[in-house]
Amino acid sequence: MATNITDFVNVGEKIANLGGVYPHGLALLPVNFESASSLAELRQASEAATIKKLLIAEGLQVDDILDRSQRPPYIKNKSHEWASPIIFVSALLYSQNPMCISLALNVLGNYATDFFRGTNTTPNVKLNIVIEKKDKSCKTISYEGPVDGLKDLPNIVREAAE
Amino acid sequence: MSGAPTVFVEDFNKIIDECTNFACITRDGGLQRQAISRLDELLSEIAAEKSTAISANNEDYANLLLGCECVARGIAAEIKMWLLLKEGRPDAAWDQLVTAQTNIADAPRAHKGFSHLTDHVERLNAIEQLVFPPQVYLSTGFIVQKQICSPCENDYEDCGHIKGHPYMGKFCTVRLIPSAVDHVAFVENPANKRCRVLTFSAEGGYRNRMTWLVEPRTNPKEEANPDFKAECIVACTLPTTEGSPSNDSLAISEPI
Repeated sequence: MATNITDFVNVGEKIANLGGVYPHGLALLPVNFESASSLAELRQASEAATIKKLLIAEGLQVDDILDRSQRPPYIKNKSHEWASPIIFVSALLYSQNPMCISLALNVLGNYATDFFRGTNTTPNVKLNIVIEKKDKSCKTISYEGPVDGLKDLPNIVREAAE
Repeated sequence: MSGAPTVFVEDFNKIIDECTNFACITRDGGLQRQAISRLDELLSEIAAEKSTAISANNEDYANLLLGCECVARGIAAEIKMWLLLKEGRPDAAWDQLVTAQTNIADAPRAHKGFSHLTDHVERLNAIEQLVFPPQVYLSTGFIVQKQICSPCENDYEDCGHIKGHPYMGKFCTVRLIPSAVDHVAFVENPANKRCRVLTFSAEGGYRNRMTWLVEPRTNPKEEANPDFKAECIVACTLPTTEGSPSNDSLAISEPI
């Protein structure tokens, strides 16, 4: 199990540069959001659509950063590992509802457990959460490890948000 | 076989118990073939019962019958695996093992009434580890322009269905519309265990990873090219599906 906290590009500025819409709720960022220099370069995790539906079903607000007509293509890997899209939590949302992280992680954990059911591999998930601080700077919390370890992430996110 | 759901399920359980008895290598091949035939008949009976359930808008029962289909297919594949091993055809036996694993793992996704099958999944995984040699797997990565949902045929991002979940007796699968192959990579845990190296170059031909026999080259031009042959998903720009592992398709033998 490995968890790392690193600086992340200013999400608000980057979205503005790409011509997107700043999200006030949760948002699923393309996997190459930091490095892409144009809309055409963006790629979504193939699981992004499913994760979005599951989060919305739990009553969480998930905002699109791009118009439907600008949706980036997906990257689909046929290996059996579960890589989540980057989950962005705005400073406003986190200040109003810090429990949204636990709820989202619970949804992701349940889905990942179902994903690995019936396999003889050690279930490992890869997850990146980007938390926006009050000064609009952003930190990313990268997690790779068993599904059970997701329950420890809310505390780590809290520390990163301070 | 029709009537009240409980009667159908009781009959189903009885047939499955009888047929599972033949999912062992020591059983007589003729009896194993009879069991496979009985399971094929059972699948036809389940399909008819499921049509009735769908007509009656009974989604829970339709999903239960979807689980029954998974179990019947899984047990049939497991028996076929043992038959093929006895016939000295381990590559074909491997494919049946994968079919058994994916179907038995799918059943609890179809309906909660099959959650007890975890033990059977572990049994199949143990067979994989003990009976077959370790395999080398490949993974294809590709860029997908659009994902089409199977229950509603709409863009998967805009509908309410969840990939892999059952809806009125069918799993939601997603038809991928790829635009380009991104990469092919060796992986430890493939999405599809059929996507594996079959043979590799050896003196005098290709060595089969399953039997360890060297098979002579059929094309003399291949002599100078040390390489391997693999079975893998060909992405190209053809649609493929995902959601239920047993729905993976387009597996063909291709030299790489």
